[in-house]
Amino acid sequence: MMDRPQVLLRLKELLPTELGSAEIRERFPAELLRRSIFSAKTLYASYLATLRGTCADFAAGQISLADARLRLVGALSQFGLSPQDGGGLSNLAGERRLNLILKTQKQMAASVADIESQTDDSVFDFPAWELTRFSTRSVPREDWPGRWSAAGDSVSWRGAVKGPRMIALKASPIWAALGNGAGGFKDALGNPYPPFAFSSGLAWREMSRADCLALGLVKKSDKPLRPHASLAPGDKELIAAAARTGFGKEALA
Amino acid sequence: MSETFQLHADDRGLKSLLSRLSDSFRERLYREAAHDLARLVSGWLSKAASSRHRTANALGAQPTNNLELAASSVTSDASPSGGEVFVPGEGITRTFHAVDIVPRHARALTLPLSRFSYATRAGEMEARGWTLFSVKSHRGILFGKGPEGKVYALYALRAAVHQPQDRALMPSDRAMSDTCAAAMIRIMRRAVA
Repeated sequence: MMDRPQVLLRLKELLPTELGSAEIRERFPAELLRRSIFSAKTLYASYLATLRGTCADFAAGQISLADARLRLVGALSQFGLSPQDGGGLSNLAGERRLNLILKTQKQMAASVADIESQTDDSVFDFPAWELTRFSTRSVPREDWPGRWSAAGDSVSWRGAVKGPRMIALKASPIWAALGNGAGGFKDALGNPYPPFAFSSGLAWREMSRADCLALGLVKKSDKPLRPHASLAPGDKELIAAAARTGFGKEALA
Repeated sequence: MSETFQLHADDRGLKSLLSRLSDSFRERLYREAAHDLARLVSGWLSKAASSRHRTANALGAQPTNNLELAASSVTSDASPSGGEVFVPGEGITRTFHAVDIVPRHARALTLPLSRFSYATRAGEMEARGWTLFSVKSHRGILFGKGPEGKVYALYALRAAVHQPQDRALMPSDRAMSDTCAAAMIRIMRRAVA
């Protein structure tokens, strides 16, 4: 067996583009973006190939965040780009941007692998996820209650608790609504799984059946509904491709 | 740098029982055991991570949140022959044993002494416009002159670093094996109900 997040990252296609983040999400179908490695205003295909491999190695825990950044800065220096160019997040070689890309890709791949590994048993025993803070932030977003409320309203709170805790069934449409930025949140990443927004420190924690019964989210007679159905075709295609390789190192060598 | 827990039956009676099951049911048992173990490990690591920012805090640096990221990236997998829980992240391997680190390519390891160099490779500092240098009167220290012209002690240079075991990063062996056993028993009961 090989860790699935790493395999899922290695199978992504390269998508060079000169567009910015907002334009990318406006002009490219979300399905294409889920299958691709891209970075706003990055046209260098060879850099994207390095980025893909580096993200996979980082997701696998084979290199540290600092080593991953160093590798990417080295690749970008071939194009005359440097961390010294300034510009904050718009600087391709800037520390903040590289951290954001590496951490986001790692968590996205882990989330897809988590959804894909759900079974009838695991959904029966742990029917819901709670979106909760895993990583501290110096300036944490304070608008998560508003995001949750807007996402819940947009799906009539199907399979979701109104709050204050952000708990919903694994197959609830609220996760897709949250990822799509229901309510007009422009920093949403477009995915039905964490991270739901750029640089978010929130992730899923499973809720037991007993807790879900107490919250009224499930009834004793309910049959489990697997969240795999809510995965987008782009994610499913990646998983299918990974399954064809057997998640084996040999197939990817 | 990462840690993979492999689930295999080590009890002869359990091994014998599992060998009589179909491949698909054995995989189902391992899969749920690994899933529950992943859940336990993720929750534990998330709590443990909050108390492990001492170096960053002492240097006035931003914590890397590496352990928190690892906690949110725990995954599991299974086959008819066993289960796996994968915990990707820095510093996880010292859960079960002390770790001795020696430089692979460089002449010395660099331990951060400043908020500027915390969680940053020396090569990155140079790429950011710092000039690194050493001084005879302060052997074992790597200094850096920043883009604004100020000089800081950035790294302590070491030939090797010993990281002691940090068993508290993960749940106890008992808690982990109990979790796996409980998951397997739950599935067996469901199957025969």
